[in-house]
Amino acid sequence: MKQTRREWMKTAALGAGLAGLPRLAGATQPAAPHVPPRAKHVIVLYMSGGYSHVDTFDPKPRLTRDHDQSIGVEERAAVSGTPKIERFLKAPLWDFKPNRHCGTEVSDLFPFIREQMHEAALIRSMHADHRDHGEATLQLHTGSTGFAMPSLGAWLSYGLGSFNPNLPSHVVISEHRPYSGAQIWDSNFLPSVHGGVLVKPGNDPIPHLKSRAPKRLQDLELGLLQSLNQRHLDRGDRDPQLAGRMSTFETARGLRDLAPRALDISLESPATLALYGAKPGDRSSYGAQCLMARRLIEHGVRFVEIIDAVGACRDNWDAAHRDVGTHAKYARRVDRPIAGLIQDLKSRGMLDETLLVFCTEFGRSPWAQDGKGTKSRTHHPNAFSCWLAGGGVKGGAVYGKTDDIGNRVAENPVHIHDFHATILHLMGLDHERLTFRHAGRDFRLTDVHGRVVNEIFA
Amino acid sequence: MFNCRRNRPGAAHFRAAASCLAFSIASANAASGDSRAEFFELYVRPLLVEQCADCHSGKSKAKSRLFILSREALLQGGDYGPAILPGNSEGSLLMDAVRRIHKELRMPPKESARLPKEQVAQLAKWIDDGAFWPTNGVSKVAAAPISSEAGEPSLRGADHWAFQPRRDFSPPVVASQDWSRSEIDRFLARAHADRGIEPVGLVDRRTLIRRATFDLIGLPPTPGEVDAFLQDRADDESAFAALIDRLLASPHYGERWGRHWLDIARYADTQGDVGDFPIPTAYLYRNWVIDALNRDMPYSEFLQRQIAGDILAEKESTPEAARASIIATGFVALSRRFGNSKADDMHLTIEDTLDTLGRGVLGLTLRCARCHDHKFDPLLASDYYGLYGVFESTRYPWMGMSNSKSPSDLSPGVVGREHQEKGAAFFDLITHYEYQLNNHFRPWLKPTLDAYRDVTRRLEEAKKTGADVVALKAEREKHLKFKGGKFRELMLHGLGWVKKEKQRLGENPTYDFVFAAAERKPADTRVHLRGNPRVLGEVAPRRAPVVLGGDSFANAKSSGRLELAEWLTRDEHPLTARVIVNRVWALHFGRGLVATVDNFGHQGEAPTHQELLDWLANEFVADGWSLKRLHRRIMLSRAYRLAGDRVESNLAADPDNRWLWRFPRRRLEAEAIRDSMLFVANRLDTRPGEAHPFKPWYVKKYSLNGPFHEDYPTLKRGVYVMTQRLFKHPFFGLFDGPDTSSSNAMRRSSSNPGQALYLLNSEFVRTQSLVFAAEALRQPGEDVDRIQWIWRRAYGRDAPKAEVELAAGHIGTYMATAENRGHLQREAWASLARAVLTSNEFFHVE
Repeated sequence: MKQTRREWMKTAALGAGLAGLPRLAGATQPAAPHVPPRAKHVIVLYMSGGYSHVDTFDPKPRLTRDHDQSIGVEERAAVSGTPKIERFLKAPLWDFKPNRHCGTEVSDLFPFIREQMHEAALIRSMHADHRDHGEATLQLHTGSTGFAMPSLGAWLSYGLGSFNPNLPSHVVISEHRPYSGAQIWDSNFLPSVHGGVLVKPGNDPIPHLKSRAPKRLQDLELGLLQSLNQRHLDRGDRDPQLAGRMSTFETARGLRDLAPRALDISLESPATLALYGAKPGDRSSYGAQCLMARRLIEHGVRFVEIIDAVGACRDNWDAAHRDVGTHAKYARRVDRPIAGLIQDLKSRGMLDETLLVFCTEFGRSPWAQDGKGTKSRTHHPNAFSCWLAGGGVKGGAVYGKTDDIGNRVAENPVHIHDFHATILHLMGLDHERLTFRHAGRDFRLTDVHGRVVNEIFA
Repeated sequence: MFNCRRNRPGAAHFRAAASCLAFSIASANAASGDSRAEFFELYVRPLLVEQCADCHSGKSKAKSRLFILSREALLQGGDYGPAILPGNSEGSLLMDAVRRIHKELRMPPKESARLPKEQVAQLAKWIDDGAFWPTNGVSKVAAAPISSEAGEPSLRGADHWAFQPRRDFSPPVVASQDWSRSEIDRFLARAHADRGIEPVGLVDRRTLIRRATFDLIGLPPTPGEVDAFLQDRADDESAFAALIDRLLASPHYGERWGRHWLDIARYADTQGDVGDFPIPTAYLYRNWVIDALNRDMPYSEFLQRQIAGDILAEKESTPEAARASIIATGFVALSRRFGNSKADDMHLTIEDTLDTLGRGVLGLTLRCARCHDHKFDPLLASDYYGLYGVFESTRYPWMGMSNSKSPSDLSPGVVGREHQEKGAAFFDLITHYEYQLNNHFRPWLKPTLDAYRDVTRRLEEAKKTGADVVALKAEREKHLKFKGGKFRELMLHGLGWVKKEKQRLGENPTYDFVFAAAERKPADTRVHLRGNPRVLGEVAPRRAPVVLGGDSFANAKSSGRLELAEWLTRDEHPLTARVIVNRVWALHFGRGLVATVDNFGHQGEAPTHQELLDWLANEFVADGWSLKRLHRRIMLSRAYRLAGDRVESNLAADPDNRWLWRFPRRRLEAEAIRDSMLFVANRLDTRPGEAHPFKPWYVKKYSLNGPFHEDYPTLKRGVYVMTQRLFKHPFFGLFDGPDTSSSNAMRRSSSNPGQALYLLNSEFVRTQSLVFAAEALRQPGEDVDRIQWIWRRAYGRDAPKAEVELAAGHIGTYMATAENRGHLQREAWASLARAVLTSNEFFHVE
């Protein structure tokens, strides 16, 4: 009989322990996948606030044609709580142009990313269940809009482990606190080793990483600790748990020595820095963050997410009661670095094994939020666009369709659960088999839902 | 799947073609009755019969409650509401389903059977034309009878052991003298004998006092306490019994075991909504729990007050006792809040109440019956909603939410209807002002404000000129009544006045309000079909789950909480006593007799010693539900005093120590680690915790973008540290502290590099190490004496020669290696202290 993942992990942990390997409960070691993996690493590029799909990746000529025309009040909203207002269509503020190779149309907000769309599979039929940022952000990361659940990165870490025992398998780069805070990279009921390690771009990226005493003295102290623990271990029953805890101090030492190097982009060539739009000495621009992400996966980290929670969510993609024109500012910030990341990964031969996920929590309404002719667009979970690129993804593909104004999905809907199932599958995990027993039942990232969108696989 | 190269020019064409098709059908069939009937018979009826009727048959055993073969039935709809809106195909659920764009409904279910585009267009046209249905067609059959699930409710599995009454088992007679001295041991010894397991011997006194002290008060024994216990001339059992009594009488007992209960009650000092509003009086409930355990309140009463303390308060003779009883309902009131407005996600808050009651007290995953009958246990959706009605009839307090930032429904903390009403009026007024503050700038209000200003000006002028003011006054009054007078004060006195008045009310509350549950207009609720509160099924009368007797809690005058509490704590209740006895056992031994302490259902693990579990529960009830007697009984067993030795044969036969052949080693819980570090460094403030320094609600507000997030450092015990639902505490989050979002089963004890980094480099550990080292340096004698002092304080034992040399060697090398000569001695000793405080021996109880 086939072992379940849980059983497999348990035996693996036990095996490691009994063999006396000084390693942490098997949790960080690479594990066997369920299905042939198409990618080994994930970099999630999460745009916080909800970018407008009709201004970015989903061209709707009718919006320009019928600008300021009313389409009346929506009879039956797809998501509850949607206000009943008269809807005046609003033209996108930017022109759309096709990518030279595949023809995928992207607006002038993303001229650099547009040039790389032949590497990406664009999904224009995303939909989610909640119209508030907190809940929608939680759902994008954990599948759940309400009760906190383990995040996508935590599930991947749990399912696959890390390639480098000296580095965490799950890293989150976030300058500011995003919607729903640390819940979106939390391990929740999964073992805490799978929770995201938060890197704050800047001078002190990982908490408690720096030793106050010189390394030599800290190493002396670690030596004493090791001796005390070894005597304790020898006196007792050689409990693998004790040995496992001892090894975490070794990992911490590795992290202390390795992480600064993994995050140090000053080791990159000027040409590479330029490709990302980063400047020498820069440690916190979006380009610098993309470079850190690449360096982290090079060092064996499984899952890196860059959260673009600009201005602690007070000044981000959210264009509710705000001018959609502000999108330009946020797009300019990420466009070149992300295009640079794709090119850099490609030239290093890493794109094939790295899955890039460009996403947001929901779209923006095709109509003006505050009445005819106003500048804002409201939250729109009914339909939005996200893309995947690299590892195992069919470049240049477009999947799913919205109606002629981008209000609702018209074809091939991809719910957040489907999106998650697809990412797991590309990484070699079957979303129905990746389970964890908690509070009396087996939990999954995709709950009881999820369909793998294998149409976008290469 | 479209490759975008093909898709780009094609997409627009395809759309046009599709709408052309729809248009041509429409024009071919004028909208007369005849042609509509023809269209229906030609396209729609055959489609419905062939594609849908097998499942949507209208029979009681049908797969779906939606009956598809009558217009009325389609209008009535199934679980998701009306299937069609005649004249509006775009808004019709049926169309979402066949277009396969609904999240859950995709019809027909098989992707391969999806309807061709023409048929979809025909259905849309039929609906847009009014969904004409010939009257001589199929009879009007109503939808299938509504039940919580299709078909008969199932009580399969009702014969499961946990639902049966407890039985009376006498402790078996065993041969071994050692294992015959307590009843518990006799049950355990028989299991050893049955499995050929030879348990290890007893542990030494030094290890035992450390074990028992951490176990009962969550702190290490002092060197003096260790010495006294070692020197106690009484026999081992009597000396240990005296030690247990001393520890049970310590006020720290309630702090330690209160924390265990707060884990079950998912206690936190904040609400858990998007703004994570702080609850300034939550600590009163926390302290009530600690106090109740210290006084050994019977567990039955402990539960009753937490569920129905406000009702029980009516019988109390003093106002203090009544207030305490009301505070106890924090168990219910502190259910997690969700989202950004008070009413939207109430079903999730009640779900949290029921989940806590279910897993925490009953050992049942009740929550699984929210969307459907439980898949594994004989729990019906109507059982869930039977209990749901009790809490829907209960008033939950609020400290505010992102969309309505003022508190409401707090309890005055005194008994009496007039006080409830006065308290409610106080919050109504605050809410009234709050509404004006939240909406004074709305565009829809502006015309009224302008008109009011205008008429007021004209009125003043008219008064001056002596003109007729009657009509003007009437007009002014009309504006003041805008939206039922919701903006009256804003118009009369202006924004500043409203702000000040709200602040004044906040500073001068009519009562000393507490965050507690109260009664509300009692009513039964309806089943939420598929867990969706907007799709209601049949009425679910308030009652206990059928499998547990189905006792009615329906009370026309009250929520039924008192009835629920009394039912729950009846001596013969099959679950309540078993569950708590098992939890206490699990906390003493690291593993329950039922390993899944919060799940006694079919998916939980079977008890290892069912007879012992029943025996313990019976004794517990006979002892008047006394927890302290239960501790004593368990700890005085031989099993509790076993050593932790490794025996290969036992390990092979029973690696998880299910049969208790030794005492398992355990890592300290997060609070015990922190408190012990402070304690050995002589820094722990052992006084009880009080209120947290939150800013008053009328000073500071919270929202999604600006949630409450604080970390109030304190030197008091961990149980008194302010805990948030949304943000993990920097220490407790790292060391597997409680999950503050939902009821906890057992704590985990993970080890990870993040913890190691914290222990090596954090300010907290550094401070304790420095203080611990400074204390050591103050000790008289030589370095060796100081090293011994550290060892005795941290480990409760002397350092053998090898360890003294190790420590002294470290100090020497450290001082020789360091370049910086300032504070060198202190730093070297702090380094030694930190190694001790972070070592495995310090972190574990044997």
